[in-house]
Amino acid sequence: MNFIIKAYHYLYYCYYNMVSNKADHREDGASSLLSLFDLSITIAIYLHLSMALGRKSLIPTVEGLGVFFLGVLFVVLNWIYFVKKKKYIEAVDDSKSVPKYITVSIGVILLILPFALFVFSGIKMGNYIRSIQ
Amino acid sequence: MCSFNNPITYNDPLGDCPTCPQYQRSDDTWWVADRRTLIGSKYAGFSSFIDWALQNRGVAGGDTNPWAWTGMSSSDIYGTSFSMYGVGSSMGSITHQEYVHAVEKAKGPTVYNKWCKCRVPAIEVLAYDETYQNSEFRETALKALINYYKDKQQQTQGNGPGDPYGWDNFFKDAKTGATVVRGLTSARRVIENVYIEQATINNAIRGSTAAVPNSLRTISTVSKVAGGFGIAASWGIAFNELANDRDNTSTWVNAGVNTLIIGAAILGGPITVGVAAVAGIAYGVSYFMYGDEMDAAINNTFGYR
Repeated sequence: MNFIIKAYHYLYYCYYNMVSNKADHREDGASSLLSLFDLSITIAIYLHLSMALGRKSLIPTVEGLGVFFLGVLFVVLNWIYFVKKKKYIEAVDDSKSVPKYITVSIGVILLILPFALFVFSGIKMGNYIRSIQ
Repeated sequence: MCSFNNPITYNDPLGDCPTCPQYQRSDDTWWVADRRTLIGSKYAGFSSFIDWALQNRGVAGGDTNPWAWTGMSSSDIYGTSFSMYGVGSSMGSITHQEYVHAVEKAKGPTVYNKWCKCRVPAIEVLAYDETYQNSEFRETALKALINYYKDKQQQTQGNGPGDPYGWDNFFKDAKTGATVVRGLTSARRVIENVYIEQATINNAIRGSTAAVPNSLRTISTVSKVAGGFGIAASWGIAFNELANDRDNTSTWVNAGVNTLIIGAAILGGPITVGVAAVAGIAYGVSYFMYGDEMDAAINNTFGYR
């Protein structure tokens, strides 16, 4: 459990270093970006599980709204955890021994990865549904 | 009867008929249209698809002409309009393959046939499946037809293309709300910065070095959280289009542009935040006014379906 928390803090720290020094309150920005990462991973796993289980269609109302509310939930929960409870201090302290260029590099990848995952899973699911219809 | 091929086995329903591939468009289409049935499906309360269509026509009215369900104009049945879909000419018959090609060109409702590994018009499956009792395939065709019909109906009523449950509007409102909040907080931030500068000067004149109280922290937090909220909304739109089988390249381009603009606002310093807020509002207004044209241009050039 401790390892998972440390890894999550490390992810946060990568995003934290990505946010400009000139930006006010980097902790808020990093928290929002981490929420997108959580959302894209969740969507990708969900869509791939749906394909593995042989689902034939998606349910627009339930699943469309689900994605939206899940996104908002991640934003709020991450904000409460990192900003309101000030865990960002702990997250930065946990990882600040890692050279900054490494975290920024990982941050760049992590910035592109969520959206690429989201698009890749979406197109794959769309093609899958059309192929079985 | 020498008709077009059965879309399930891709053979003529009364036996293989390689020598009679001609599709008698008018007679056969109406024959198909008359034979559709909803018995045994979840829409069994209606005697036929046309019955369903009539009772769901709504205020503006969807087309209950079966030809409209192929995506083509009902005038195609009589005239030479098939040529506008790149097949046939004059009044002569066309092959079934040409007919399928015309339906696909017209973006009519088609379903994937795993036997022939090709797509066939949904209306055909509905008619032929009556004979072959492949209820699963029929349900798929029915769903495609009903979704297509609802899409057409909503386009007629101006509710936007292909959003049978209307969630696009909800997500778009949520995205607009987030954009407005970000725009307002950016404006407020500029005003507050001017105030702080002036107040600091005033304090200096009075000989005070006390920090000027401000609400920049709250403004920044609201702006960044609204950014995450806005991205969730734009991804919600993309997922809704995916779930409604309306996804295309424009789906991901729109989600991408919104993510990019909001991401820049989250990542950047004060100037980037202001630029991103203006870009977000400009893109939102342009999309509101010319969204359909923008999507069509993208999909016509780079579309993957």
